Amino acid sequence: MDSRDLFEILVREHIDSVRAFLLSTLRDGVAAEDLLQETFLVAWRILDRYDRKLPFGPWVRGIAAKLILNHRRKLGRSRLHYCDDEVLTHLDDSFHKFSQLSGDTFDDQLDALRGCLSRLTGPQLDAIKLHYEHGLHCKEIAARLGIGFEAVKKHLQRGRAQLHRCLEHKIVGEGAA
Amino acid sequence: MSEHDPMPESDIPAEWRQADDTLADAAAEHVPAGSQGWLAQQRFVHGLLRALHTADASAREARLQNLLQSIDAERAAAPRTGPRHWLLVAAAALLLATLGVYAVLPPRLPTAEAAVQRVVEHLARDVDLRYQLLFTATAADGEQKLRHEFDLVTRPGMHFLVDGKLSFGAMQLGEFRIGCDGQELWARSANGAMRRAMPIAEREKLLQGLGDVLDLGYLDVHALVRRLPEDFELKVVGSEQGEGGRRLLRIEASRERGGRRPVLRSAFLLCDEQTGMVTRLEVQAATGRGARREIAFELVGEEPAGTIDYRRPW
Repeated sequence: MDSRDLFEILVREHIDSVRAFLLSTLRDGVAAEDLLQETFLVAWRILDRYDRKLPFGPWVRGIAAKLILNHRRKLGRSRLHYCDDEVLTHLDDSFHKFSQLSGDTFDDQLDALRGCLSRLTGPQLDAIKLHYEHGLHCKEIAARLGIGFEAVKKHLQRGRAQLHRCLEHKIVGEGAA
Repeated sequence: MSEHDPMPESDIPAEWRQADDTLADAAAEHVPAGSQGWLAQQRFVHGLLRALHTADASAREARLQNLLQSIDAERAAAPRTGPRHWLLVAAAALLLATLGVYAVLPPRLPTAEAAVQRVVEHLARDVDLRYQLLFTATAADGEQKLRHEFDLVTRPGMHFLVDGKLSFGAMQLGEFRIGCDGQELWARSANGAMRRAMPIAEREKLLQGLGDVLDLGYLDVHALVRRLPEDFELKVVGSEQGEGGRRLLRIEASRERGGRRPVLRSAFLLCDEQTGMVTRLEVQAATGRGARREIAFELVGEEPAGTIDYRRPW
């Protein structure tokens, strides 16, 4: 097995979590795909700088974060969410903790999120489903649910906060177990 | 999943909610100070939900093939020469990833949290570490009331041996050894005239008997450091060159509100950036009415395996 084959295994293992990291920062899905490719290409080119004592996931997310910051101007506000070092550091920390959930793949780890979603109820669940599963915008959700635009925003924010708390409990629970 | 205290949803300021641009048509130009942790939480779940609902096996495979083709094209265009360290690096990375070995350090860091995590890991090893320990107690007016030097050997799981001379003003208690094997706490004077032992749960009695000089909680260095990220704000405040040119990080831990140990005020760590080995640790505790206690741990080294017995010697 040569280095390229080994790198392929690493890519297969980490590409989904790095993609989720980019999707949390980039509004535009195409831009996220472009940066995902670039992130792993850069990782390949500078692999000799990688400290083998450290896990690969945080290292490659660090490359993604640097690329996002470097490309902010080029990407433009319509393709990007607000980001700075502090937000990216918090995000990296969250993804790192998420990676400690049990499961062989990122998709296995997403089962924790699926479990948390199944506990969500009421307008928060409706708003989350309509936005993320059906791809509706806030205004469309507002019309569908017969509530105001600001109320939809709050339901989405509260739904996400509830999911975040649920994931934290799962991570802490698994850590304790 | 950030280190910040979770704020109740009802307390989230309106301007933070406005700064959440996951629902806007363009990125916010700036965000309120202090909102980054909450925004990142929202973003994190936002990213996971987007990933969950756009997961597509064939798109994933196409993505991978695109990338691998790009890599192959680069390899073909610019074959490398000379030693290929990256082969070993990639193999090690694969091994680490497979084994799930924990550590964090993206290239834009180190953060203090990451460094302290490495310290915790280093201290969690099943080895006996020897420290020189200097204990001082200072009154509110700055007058030093106590100063003791001890020799400490410790390993995780409340295992320690402390040797030193105790004195309180004019009262001399002489040489003592205090030990704990994780279950039982014991103390013995050097001449053997005084010896006591008790279950660790009753340690307060023994401490009072010795004039409450040491909080034994501090002697389990691993447990002490492990608590720091939970209760303290961590900051890398500098670095210096250690033995063999290794970079040592200076980390300051200052108290956040709501900690579990109300008396422990601050801590200061000097640790190897790469391995997490602590070479110096200082903790400062407030004891009320402006008085304070300070304990400084200076690493002497690692003891040979199997040479330290923490059980009571009688």
